[in-house]
Amino acid sequence: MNEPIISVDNIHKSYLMGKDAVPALRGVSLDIQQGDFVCLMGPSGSGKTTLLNIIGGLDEPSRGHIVIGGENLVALSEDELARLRLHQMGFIFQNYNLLANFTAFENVEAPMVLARVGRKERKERSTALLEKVGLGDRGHHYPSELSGGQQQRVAIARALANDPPILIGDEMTGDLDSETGFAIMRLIQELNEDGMTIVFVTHDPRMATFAGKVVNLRDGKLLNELPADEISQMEMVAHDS
Amino acid sequence: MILNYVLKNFKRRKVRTILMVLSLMVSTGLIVAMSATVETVRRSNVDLLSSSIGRYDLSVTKKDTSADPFVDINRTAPALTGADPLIVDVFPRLVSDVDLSANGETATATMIARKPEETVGQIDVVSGTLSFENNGMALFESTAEAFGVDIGDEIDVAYSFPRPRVEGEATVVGISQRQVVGRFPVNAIIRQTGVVGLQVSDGLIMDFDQVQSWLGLTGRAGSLIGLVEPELYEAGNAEQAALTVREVVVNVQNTLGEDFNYSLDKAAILDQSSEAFLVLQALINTYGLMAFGVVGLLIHTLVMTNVQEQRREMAVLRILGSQRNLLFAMVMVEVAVIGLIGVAFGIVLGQILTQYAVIPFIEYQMSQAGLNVTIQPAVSLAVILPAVISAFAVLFVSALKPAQDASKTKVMYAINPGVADNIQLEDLEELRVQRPNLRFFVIGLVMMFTVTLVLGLDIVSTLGNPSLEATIFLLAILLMVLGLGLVFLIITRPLERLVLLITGLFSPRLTYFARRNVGRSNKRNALISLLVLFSGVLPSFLATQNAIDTANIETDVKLDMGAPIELIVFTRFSEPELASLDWLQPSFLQSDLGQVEGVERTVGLTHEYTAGISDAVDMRSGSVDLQGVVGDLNEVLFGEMIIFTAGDESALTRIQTEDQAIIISEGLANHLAVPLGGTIKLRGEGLDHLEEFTVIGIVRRLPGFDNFGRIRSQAQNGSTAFVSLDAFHRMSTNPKVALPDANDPVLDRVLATVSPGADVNDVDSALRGEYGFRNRIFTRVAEVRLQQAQDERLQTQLFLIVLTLISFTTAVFGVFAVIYVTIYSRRLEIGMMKAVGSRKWELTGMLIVESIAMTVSAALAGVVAGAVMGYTFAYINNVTSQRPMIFAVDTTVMPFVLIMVVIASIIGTVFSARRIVKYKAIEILRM
Repeated sequence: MNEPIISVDNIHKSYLMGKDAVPALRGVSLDIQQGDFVCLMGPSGSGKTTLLNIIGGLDEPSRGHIVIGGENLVALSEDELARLRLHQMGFIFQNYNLLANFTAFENVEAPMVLARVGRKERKERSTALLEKVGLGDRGHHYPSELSGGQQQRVAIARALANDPPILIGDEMTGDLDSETGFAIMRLIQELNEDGMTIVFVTHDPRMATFAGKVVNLRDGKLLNELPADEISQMEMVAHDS
Repeated sequence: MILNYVLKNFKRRKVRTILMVLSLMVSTGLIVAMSATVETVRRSNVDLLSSSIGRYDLSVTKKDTSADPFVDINRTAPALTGADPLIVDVFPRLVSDVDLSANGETATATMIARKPEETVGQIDVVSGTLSFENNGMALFESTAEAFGVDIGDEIDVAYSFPRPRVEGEATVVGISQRQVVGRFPVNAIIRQTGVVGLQVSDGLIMDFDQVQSWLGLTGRAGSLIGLVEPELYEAGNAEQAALTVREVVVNVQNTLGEDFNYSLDKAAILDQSSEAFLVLQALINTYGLMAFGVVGLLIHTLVMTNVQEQRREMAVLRILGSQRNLLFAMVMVEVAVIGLIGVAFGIVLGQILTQYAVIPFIEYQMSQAGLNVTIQPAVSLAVILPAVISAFAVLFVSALKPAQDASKTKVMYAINPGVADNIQLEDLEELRVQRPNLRFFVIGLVMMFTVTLVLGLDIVSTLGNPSLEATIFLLAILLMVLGLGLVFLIITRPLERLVLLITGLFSPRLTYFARRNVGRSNKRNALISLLVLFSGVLPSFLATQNAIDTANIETDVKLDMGAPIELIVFTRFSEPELASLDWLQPSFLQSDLGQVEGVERTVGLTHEYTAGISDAVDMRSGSVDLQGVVGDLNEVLFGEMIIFTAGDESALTRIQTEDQAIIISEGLANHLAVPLGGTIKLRGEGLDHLEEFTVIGIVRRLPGFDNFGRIRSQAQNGSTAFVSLDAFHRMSTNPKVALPDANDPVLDRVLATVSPGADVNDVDSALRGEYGFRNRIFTRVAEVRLQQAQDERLQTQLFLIVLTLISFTTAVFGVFAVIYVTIYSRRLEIGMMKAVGSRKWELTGMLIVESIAMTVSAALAGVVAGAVMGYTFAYINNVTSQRPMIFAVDTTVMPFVLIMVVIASIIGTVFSARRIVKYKAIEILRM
């Protein structure tokens, strides 16, 4: 078996609520291989978003280790984490989080600017990425001039800007209607088929059906890992429709 | 409930609340301090002004035509005391010029003989004891230094008894007078304030009785000085006080009769100064409005942000049944509480500033000017109330719109904010607008046009009320600053691009983000730009004028004086009707002035004689001020400044000897339409006194002679013309009487040069010592004057920097507030940037570049606007005064403005961003 691209080892995470420490994760371990398409699921408060944030280097565990691409995130400084996020990961958020003053093109270009990519290459790649997400003709539009689905496509293009091996998605389709949500997931699926590792959180079982593996969490613990073919037939039908 | 909610809000938004309180505190404090300063100085004005002329209200002397030039104390003093109930004290004095001799030096000084019980003025003892034992004297410090004498040394004092002047005849200079000489020891070396006027620099104080006895003037005095009820001046109305003193002096005149001269200098100077305070107070009021305007914008921005943030909560309150007026009241109460705290602290700050900064500074300045006075600060209700009312009025206006917005909160905000916001197409369009705002430009132009009309048509002076005139004039200036600011706002956009271009060279990545954020946030940009721009216009305007003045100091001094040394008979300015008493003989040039070490060449100019002038056939006529020239002006004038329209400098040499020649101005030549070599007719003293002269030179500019110019309308009745001394004598003398002697005193001005290698300061001292007091001749040395003018400019520059500092203090708060709100409202964007890999320093750097681009471009626009206004004013001024002008760029205040803006931006950004960039990306995104 290959070395996992993401290795989560006995992660604990607690939050302080007033004077009390509330555990969010209680010893979660998980290995994700290159090219996996993993969905984190669970009810509210199960710790799925916390785990995703820790995997994405946006949050740090209280205890335990997480290794991504051979680097132990716990040992990295904030600036090193930032560099890792810039080059190794792409993020897609529920509410898109696009830069309001930037056009779609510029939003896609922004991470490349941070990564010191040359102007010509930036232009070529931004154009290609927007084409890829089906917004080749919308590059000069501002986020406020785009629909929710279009904004999320821009967010996907932005997430791919520095060609990261891992894509992290947090309720990517939460603000979208079903049809648009499925379209977005199909796009993500295509990326996975191209070899990209995808880890995403959703509360919508229909969207989980796109994943190759579903990781269920309950009360901060890993409940089970199910292969995609064990997702209910009903949800598959909904997906196909 | 409302107050409880408001107080909780303060707790939630500490930084914003502190910012609002601080800005109010600082602006209120500054305005209270400035108003208190004006009030303090106004109240101290009587003391200050009287210090410069002597702190008594009236003086009575005998007329110089009286048979007995001395006042009979026993008869006059009681009459004076009883003349008006407001007169509370009368003291006899004998004040006169005396010749002092000691250590081989002789000079003229003022002797002040006064009673020991006299309370007028303040005497500070430098050394020795202030007593008049052993016939001793108290010598002025400057006089002691000049003679090199110390305590215990003796000085010879020579007093010349005055001789009555024959009525209708001038006093003949040089006539022998009875002189008494005495030798007196120096008991004290002193400085005086208000015993006599500041113009008395050399003098001594002696005991009145002792001097009476020495001069044999028992029972008599040179003058009686009177003091009126001091409460008269405490009412605060200087003009009224002056008029009351005049009434008192009228009563004295009615009592004592026509044999006396009455002087009420203090009332006169007080009367003149009253208007200056009106202007000063109007300036403070105008500045106060500007400062509060900036604070108003700041508070409006912050409160509006608060309202936008609280929208959801307010919508929930609406769902729960809250009335609209409750939401309105919540905002208004919040602002009112902030106002109460800020203004209260501001008043305290104002008092502290006045007490511990402004008053000591004024006292220091006064002491530098020779006035040793103690000023009591006056922070009264009358000073505080206008600032408080203005502050609350501005607060009310600033809070009105946010409060109205709050009251209009829809319940939908709690359910679906996106729908409630109801973004329109024009809102989206605004994101794309990158063109300059033409609306502001047009408003600015309208303002400028209004100001031009008001000032150009001189409407203000028709109002007749000095206070109203001053206020309207300054409001017009304020309007002009605002108008000019709005007009120049249009260039902030290109300047932003320029600044970003420059920052892009150093940091392309940070500039990439800043360029987009700056260029596409119109409302925020306009607000911050206006805050900075308005604050930059006035200091830049004043600084440009100062820079131009500084660059032109040498030119101005040369054009004013005409030659390296200038001597003018003092009475020409002070008492023109008596000037003839002090005119100098032509022989003075060689036999007297020429002997002073360091003086090389000399040229004399006669007093002006106004003659009629016309062309050869009287078609065009006017009048001209004739001056006879004794000497070759080419030898003394600053040659590089001379411009002849026709003829050349040789005319200045020829004019001495060519009896029927004349040099006239270009304006007059144009008026008379007379060319070089043409003939003009002069109408001199007496009937049928006409002579023809040939024009040998037409002058456009002659240094030292303002009335040689090119403007025809001015020249018609007011230009100067040169003729020879003989011609001058002829034209100014009735043909029916004999011509004056060639050496008769007719000169009232002398121009000279400094010998090569001579020390100009020594020459200046020598001339002042030789002629300053003894002959009542005003002396100036160009190089010394130049140095003084340069020193004065440095002081002005310091004042401007202080003004800029004050002006920008409120602007800095504005910048700070806008940046703070901007960063706060963009926290999600910052979170996202962190999530995708931005580091802390990159985010801070990006925000700093944004702030700098916005503020520096606005400051540059303000500087350009101020400089343009400064250059325009200076150009117009120089054109009308027909002077050349060297354009100059201020290198102190304007860079200071830019540096302050950059520092404010960096500090404001770092402070505002420091917390948000420290948060983890996920923490920010969860907010």
